[in-house]
Amino acid sequence: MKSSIKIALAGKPNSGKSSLFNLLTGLRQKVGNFTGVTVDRASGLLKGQTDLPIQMIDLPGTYSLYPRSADEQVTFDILTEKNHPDHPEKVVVVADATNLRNCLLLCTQLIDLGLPVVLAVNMMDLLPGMNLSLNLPLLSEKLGIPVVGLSARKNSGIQELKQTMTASIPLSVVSFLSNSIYSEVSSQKPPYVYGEFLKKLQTDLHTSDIQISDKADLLKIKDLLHRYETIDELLKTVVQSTLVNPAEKRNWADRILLHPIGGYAIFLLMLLFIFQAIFSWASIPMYWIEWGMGNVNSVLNENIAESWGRSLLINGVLAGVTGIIIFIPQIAFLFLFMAVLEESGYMARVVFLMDRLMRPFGMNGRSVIPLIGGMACAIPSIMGARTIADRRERLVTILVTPLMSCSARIPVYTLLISMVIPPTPIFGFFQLQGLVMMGLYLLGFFMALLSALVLKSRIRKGERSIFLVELPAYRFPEFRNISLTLWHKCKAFVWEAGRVILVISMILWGMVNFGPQDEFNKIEEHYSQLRQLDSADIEQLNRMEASDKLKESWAGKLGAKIEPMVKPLGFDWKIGIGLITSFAAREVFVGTMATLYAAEEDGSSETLRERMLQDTFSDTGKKVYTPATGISLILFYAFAMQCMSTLAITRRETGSWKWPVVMIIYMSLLAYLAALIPQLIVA
Amino acid sequence: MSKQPIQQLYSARCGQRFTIVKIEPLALKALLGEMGIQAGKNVQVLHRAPWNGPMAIQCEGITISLRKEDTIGVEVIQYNPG
Repeated sequence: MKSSIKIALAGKPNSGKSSLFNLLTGLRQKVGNFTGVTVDRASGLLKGQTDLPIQMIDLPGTYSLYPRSADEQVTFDILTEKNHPDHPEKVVVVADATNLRNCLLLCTQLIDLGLPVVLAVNMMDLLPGMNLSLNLPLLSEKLGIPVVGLSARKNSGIQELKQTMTASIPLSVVSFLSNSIYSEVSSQKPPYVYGEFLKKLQTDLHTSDIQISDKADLLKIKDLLHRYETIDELLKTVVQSTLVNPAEKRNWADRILLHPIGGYAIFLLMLLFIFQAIFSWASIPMYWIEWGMGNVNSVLNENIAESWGRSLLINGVLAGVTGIIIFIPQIAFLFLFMAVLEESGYMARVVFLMDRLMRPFGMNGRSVIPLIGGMACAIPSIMGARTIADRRERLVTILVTPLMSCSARIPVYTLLISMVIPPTPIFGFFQLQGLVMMGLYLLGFFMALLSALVLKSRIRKGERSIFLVELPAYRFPEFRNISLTLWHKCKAFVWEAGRVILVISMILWGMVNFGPQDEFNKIEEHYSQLRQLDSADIEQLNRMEASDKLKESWAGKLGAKIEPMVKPLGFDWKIGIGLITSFAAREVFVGTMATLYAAEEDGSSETLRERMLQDTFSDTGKKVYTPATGISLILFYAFAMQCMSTLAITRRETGSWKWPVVMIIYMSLLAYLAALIPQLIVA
Repeated sequence: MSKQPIQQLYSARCGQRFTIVKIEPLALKALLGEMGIQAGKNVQVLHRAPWNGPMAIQCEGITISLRKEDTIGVEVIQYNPG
């Protein structure tokens, strides 16, 4: 779309920028990555535009053109590099009407860059309630650019904005530069180019030479203060206020939500509520999905003649697809709550409350968000760690997030707990199985903290960074924004995790169904003879044949190879195979066991459970699933890194293979040692 | 202006209002400068997280949270209206 015009939306976080973007583009938006960096790039065509397509780009939120994080660097590069593929023809600066001062900083910088700028003053509807009024025509005159007042929430002023930004925008003749600052950094003669000045400062700020970086810092401060001085002067005439205390209302809510005791209690209650939703409410749509996929399965079974193609379709592709979409309800619920908390402004308070608690573990308040998300799925959560500016804190957060009990572990836990933990009532109210399940969540969380503690001392600290979080005003979340966020998150999960799960599911199918041909022939011969007998139970024979074939398949041979390695943990070759197939996704373990024990997969988990319990080691004749082995296996699943998608995403987010390797080594060690403990106790 | 004793924002109690006198080091000065917070502006300490956790301060209509030890170099005097 080279011929289309690009218009970028820029603004500080919480200015309602994304809200306006959603309104302007609707569902016609694409979320991807900016070239070369893993920062979300949202773009879309302007709605209702017929003659000339206009591409809107939602730039990552930034306070100024002095970037501090990877996100902000992207905005900086796009706006200052004329040759950048996303460099826009025009920029709309989105400002918060209730807090114009901070928003104008970026606006003046963009004007000085020489870009055509429109100022969109959002949230105009909130002004009367705050006894404020703005003289927008005067503001427009003083800035020398078009200014449009609007409310994305009330859907007002949007038409006017569209008209203004699609018309030709005159460059401002006003300058906010202080020439005295400028001549210090560059030898050029006037007229100065602000973009060059910023780029020079940016390089100087990050040099190791303290003298140069300090001088750059001083110039940056001078530039900022000069701008604010101008802005304050300008706003004196633009803002009319009959205000006594602007923040009175917010203080009232924060006094409760940030209370040293009450604040934590409320946060804890909220977490419990979210858990409740994930575990009981999500089970209803999950049941529907299971039912629906079961139907698809039987339709395919009935309508396609038996062949390896059908087998691949059903046991490879369909099993893989089911394994992905079954988790959507839980993940959607969790991200729904997180989006609501984020939109309302509460998440920033969580960051404030939790910072002190997370710091001893080498993380910061922002780490809480990926850690909570890790209880649904580590993949989107690791992506969410981008907001952490400090290098070490971000890495530690990424590395420990997979220890949180994700939803893929639930089916494995459920099966194993039902096998080895008796449903003894405790205090007449709780039940031992349920308590063990809850204990596993806590175990995951505490192991994450413990690992963080160790990792912290092993990872080099990056450039010193100051932790600064704005606590935005509370706002009622907008349905449109929440639903779009949810949609993008679920799509990202299905795409990121889904393709890996699908591919591995198909490879697994091949390994399970194929093996050395002569050995397969021998088995087939043997069973066809048995079927001739009068007393033959054909169904039983079919199952036994499948089970024998599996033992001789490539998967079975691989399992036999790793058996010596997992023997100390009390595992047999079947569990060995299960551990390998779990790399697709942990819940694949259950399906693998079903295939290995030749039990029907559809719902008759009772049979699978019983067959597993009766299984014995071929050499010693002892039972495989003793309580100790069951517990070993549960512990192994709690800690082991068995998710290809997580490793892939870690590689992408950290930009190096080092960290996924560190992740798999430390988690495997942890899993192995933890699984060894029950065996040692029994011995 | 009458001579006021200089205090550190670090040790300020909740609810107190101050006028900023000096911000150090340079990195913090630049960071707060981006928010439009500088010497001469009035700040109010709104909340403090327990166990020496971060503090929430309000200045020029925005509320930001900073770690306590990052504010060691912020010098303030008692706010004196009029």
